Amino acid sequence: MVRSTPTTVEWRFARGDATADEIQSVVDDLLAYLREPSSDQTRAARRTGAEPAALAGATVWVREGEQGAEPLLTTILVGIAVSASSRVIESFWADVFWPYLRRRLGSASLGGRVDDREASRE
Amino acid sequence: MRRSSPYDDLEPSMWRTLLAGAAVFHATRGVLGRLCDAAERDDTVKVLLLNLGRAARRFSRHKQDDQAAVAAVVAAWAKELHAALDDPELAYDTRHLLAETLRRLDQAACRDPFLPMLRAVEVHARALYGEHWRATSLSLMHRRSHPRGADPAQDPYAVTAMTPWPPGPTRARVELHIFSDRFGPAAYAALPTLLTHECVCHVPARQDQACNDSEFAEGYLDWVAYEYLRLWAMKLDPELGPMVRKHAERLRDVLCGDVTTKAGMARQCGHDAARELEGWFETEYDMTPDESRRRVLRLAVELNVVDRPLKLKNNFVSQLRKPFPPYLDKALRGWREQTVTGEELLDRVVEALP
Repeated sequence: MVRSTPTTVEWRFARGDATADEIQSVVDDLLAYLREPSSDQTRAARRTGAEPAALAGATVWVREGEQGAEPLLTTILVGIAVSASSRVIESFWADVFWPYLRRRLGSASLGGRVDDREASRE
Repeated sequence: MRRSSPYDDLEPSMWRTLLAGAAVFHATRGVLGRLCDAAERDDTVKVLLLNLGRAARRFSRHKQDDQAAVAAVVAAWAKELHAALDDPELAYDTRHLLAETLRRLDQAACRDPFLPMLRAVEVHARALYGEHWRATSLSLMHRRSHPRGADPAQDPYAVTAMTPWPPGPTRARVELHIFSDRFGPAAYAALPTLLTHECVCHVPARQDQACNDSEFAEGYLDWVAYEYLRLWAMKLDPELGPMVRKHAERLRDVLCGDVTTKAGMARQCGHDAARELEGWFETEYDMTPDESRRRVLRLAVELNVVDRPLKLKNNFVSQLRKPFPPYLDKALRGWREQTVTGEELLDRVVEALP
């Protein structure tokens, strides 16, 4: 079996109406579902071409980008480190993570991506 | 009995919250406008509506299927209405209104009211756009904040809609986003307005990009969508129609009142342009206001399906200020006399660009 190169990405989003802690909690739930072979989330992950077990082993961190007197102007950072290509991570985000987050915390939970950067690639 | 949500973007409990509130609003829609007005001056009615929202959230979490949730919310609200009616101090008008509301509550049913609203609007929009129409699907979503971050007392329309760009060649997805904690009667009555905007302005549009501060797509066409809503409201739902018209006007005031954003300025610019054009047809051709308005509507629909860059259409709108440039005056006369098509009219705009 060919293993994908481990990849770490960190994306910056405009703040929505959810806090970093709330998003982190939903991420943790999602990763737990990905460990269940028959869950809806595992099936959705397979459709993206990803190996759910690899995604379940991902490290995902969510934190506030800044502190500010006006929270609306601050950003949310989402980092993902996983044994998969960046293309798979993009698909995973668009087809699994974001729909799940939107369903749980609402369509305004996170704003648009304001800065894409790949933090490191091994 | 449904235990899941018919909409992928809603958890079952969130779906039941929206369904239960909407089921009550739909059943009582004939008096909903009066309830909404009464809530502004009568605390009893205001509290009743707030408690309806609370009941919808509470029972949606605790009940395991849609029908049980709707039935529990209806029963809880009926009990509240009875309690309010027991108050001997209740004003005569309010008593009459609440008694009528209670009577209509019997008709509350566990049926999705959102998709039929879109389908009703779609019937009219499809007839308008003919072969250019794209079949629609509906995504219902929730959000946890007001779409404009507004004070609900000033802006009770805690809903918004969008059509993701680009649509497919023959299909488009319309999204309704509802702030569930503030989903009240005014927001419910605004749904046909939002759906009409999406169906008239965006679903059949042929253009190169989406732009939320387009004078054409969010301004001129928005004005046109309000006009079509006014024409269609009673056909969409005879009972809700008058309230839809009233809240469409209020929502327009809310949205047009915000000229601090580029989107707000574009909306106002486009509305002004539509009015200028309406006045031009009226004076130049001695038309009645109705006749001239129909021309403005027809031209908008024609231009919306001409596959040209949105910036060009914006440019056309931005020139609709009297006196119109001579080339535009001539092109509009040609369009009126059917010697110039909408596509050719936009070509003239290109030719006139510096």
